[in-house]
Amino acid sequence: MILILSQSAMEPTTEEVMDWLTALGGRFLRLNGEDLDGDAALCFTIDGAETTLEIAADGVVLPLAEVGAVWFRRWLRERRHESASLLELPAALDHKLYYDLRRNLTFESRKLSDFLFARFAGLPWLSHPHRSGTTKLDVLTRAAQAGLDTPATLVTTERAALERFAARYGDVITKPIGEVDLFLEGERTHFMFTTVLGSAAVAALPERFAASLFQERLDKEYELRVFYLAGECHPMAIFSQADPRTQNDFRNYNRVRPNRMVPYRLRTETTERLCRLMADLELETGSLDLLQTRDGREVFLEVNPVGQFGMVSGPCNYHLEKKVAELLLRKDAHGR
Amino acid sequence: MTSEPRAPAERVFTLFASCIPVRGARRSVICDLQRQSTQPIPNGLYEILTMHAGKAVAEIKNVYDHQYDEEIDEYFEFLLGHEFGFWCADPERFPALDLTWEAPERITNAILDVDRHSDHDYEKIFSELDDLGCKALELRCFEPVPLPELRRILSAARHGRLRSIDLLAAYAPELTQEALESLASEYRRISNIAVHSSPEDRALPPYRTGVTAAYRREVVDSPRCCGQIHPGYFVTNIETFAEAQKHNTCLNRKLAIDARGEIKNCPSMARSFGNARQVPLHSALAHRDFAALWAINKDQIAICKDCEFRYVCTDCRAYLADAADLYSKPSKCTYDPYTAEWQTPAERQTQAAAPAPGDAALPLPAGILKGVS
Amino acid sequence: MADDPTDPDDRPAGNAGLFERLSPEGRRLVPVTFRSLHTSKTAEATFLRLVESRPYRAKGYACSPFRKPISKCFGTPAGEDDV
Repeated sequence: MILILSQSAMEPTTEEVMDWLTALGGRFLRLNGEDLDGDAALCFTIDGAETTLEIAADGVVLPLAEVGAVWFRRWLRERRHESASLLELPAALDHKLYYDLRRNLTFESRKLSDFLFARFAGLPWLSHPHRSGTTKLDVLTRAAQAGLDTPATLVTTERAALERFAARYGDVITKPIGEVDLFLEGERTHFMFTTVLGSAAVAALPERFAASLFQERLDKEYELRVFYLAGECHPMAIFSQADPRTQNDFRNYNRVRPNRMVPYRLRTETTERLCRLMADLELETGSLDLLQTRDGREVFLEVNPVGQFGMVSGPCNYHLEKKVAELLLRKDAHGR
Repeated sequence: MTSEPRAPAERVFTLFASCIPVRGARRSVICDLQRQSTQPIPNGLYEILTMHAGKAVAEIKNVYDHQYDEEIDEYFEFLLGHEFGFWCADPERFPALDLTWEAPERITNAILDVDRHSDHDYEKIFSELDDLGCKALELRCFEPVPLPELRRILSAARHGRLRSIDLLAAYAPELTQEALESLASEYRRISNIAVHSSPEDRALPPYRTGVTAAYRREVVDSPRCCGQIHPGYFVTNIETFAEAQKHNTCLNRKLAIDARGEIKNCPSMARSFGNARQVPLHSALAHRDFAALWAINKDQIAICKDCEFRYVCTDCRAYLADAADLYSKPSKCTYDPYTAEWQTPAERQTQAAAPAPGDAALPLPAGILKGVS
Repeated sequence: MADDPTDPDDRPAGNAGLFERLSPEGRRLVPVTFRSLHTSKTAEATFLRLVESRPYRAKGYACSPFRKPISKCFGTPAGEDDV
């Protein structure tokens, strides 16, 4: 039996893989992050050497003992306490207290999830939560070591260092060291997109700032999105340059004339290097971003360990949902 | 792809893999499977895009002895303007789309017919369809079904795997605009509502969820109304185009239950595989003949096999030009691929593919049509 | 396309961006990316058709139209008179 760790809303990919598992004769169990966040009844006991874990959802005890392999697809998008009003008197709202309460509950909830994951430590997994939080700078370092072309990168707190970097590479871009994010503020949303810094913008910075990531601006011909699955690369090219809206970041996409997304064939050496990188990162799945420059470079940008594969599978007709299901069945056969 | 209409040195024109040219007897089309449009092109351009694919423009002009240099330039401008392709430095990096079709569902779509004499066990039918993985249902009511009864039917489809319900209802005064909207908000699986036999033709503005609804004057009082073929029923997307390569895109993995409860490939067909009250749907499906028609693709059908729309048209195997010939063209199709004309003016109007929004209609150079093909 | 949520140019007039409203300390603490946040009108929520699906153990099962017509009963395309 395959345990699918997912979430209970907007997960068409989870459902498609479930359909393939059914079609291929597999047995599976879906456990959503929300089950551990109040949706299911949970009982875990330690009595001497004896431990029991029981999770009951929809009046049924989930047969966790039969699990032979685990797929970590998604988990909790938002914990219920994160959007709840925790204090009785909003008028007396104390930001620090609010923040501390939430932080504590989030930490508590994380530990509970970690415990659940640890229960299945002995089984084969496809993607693992402990390896799902890669660090962009570490990945870039390892990618360069794996022989991949990587963008010239600078992390600095000093304007002078940035000026030297810009003198060498021309326009530079800046992006977060961690993840791109957005901030909702009622009527307005503040987006963090990859942004180009010209020399005027650099000159306007203070001499010292918080550590920031800068990279050479690459002259993009098209982007590559590669879904890596257990030793195989499934690449797609995204033509976003034609539309000024998406020149620096294709997430900034245009719904009327969607970017062209077509199957792609990587150079053999790029495929080998990507595989080496993924092995080094101990990742069995991941969504890799690369960029093809006008002067013929195939440049590695980053990896997202639990990346979407529906957005590659659909336009390229790669049937990745079926491939994931087949891989899970093989793991389940080994795990038992 | 970018602004250069002329080929940059060392580059060849490459179609995006999702833009697939299909040749017809008189003209061809480019099926844009990503942006879901079908663009007619002359057969001469089809030839350039297929036989001469991967050749530099100068070489192509040479092939035609420089008689059509201007037209060829115009063609490439046209293709670039529509973003059907790009100047490619590395064509071997851009493989064709794999057109393998497969689906995990044993049944992908179903029709359930209802008239005033129908006596379906809706719970049983929906639960059995769910076991077959069915994701899409069309509920066709040939006669007015009172709203409480309609709600009872739709309630039986809650909680399952259905992701879309198309509701075809017969007009009754109680089916007001508000009634339709509240149905769609109560039963969120509903994707589309069409009310036939209405006093007027009126499409309602799409709901915020994207659900569409329309009143239609046309009368749909029996399965005999089905089987219409016109561009409004063409679909240009990857899944259907891929399915059409080897399957019949109307009947493949379809299951129908007619108003009497008879399990069929399609309610317009005579053959029954048992009544749903007695026979479980999976048993009917297991009958060796049930899937026999699923493999009749358009490449096997007379006339259709010469039609440029063969992979975007969803066919009909119930109403045939020659009732005795399973491989004859749908009788309700009025398109003649040998003249590239529809028989009725109304249909001719709709045949011009709508240009993409925000896209000025581009002239289609036709000069080359004479000499090249 | 004033309502396009991805258009960086439609900052509400006369309303400073998030960075401009940070305290001097806040400005010192945020990385350079915060100096070029794109502010735009919050996108109207996309109204997905979410339902419960028991076979999938999903509360927010997303519904969408089928990719092709299931039957073909009308002789003319829908809403032709209005479009």
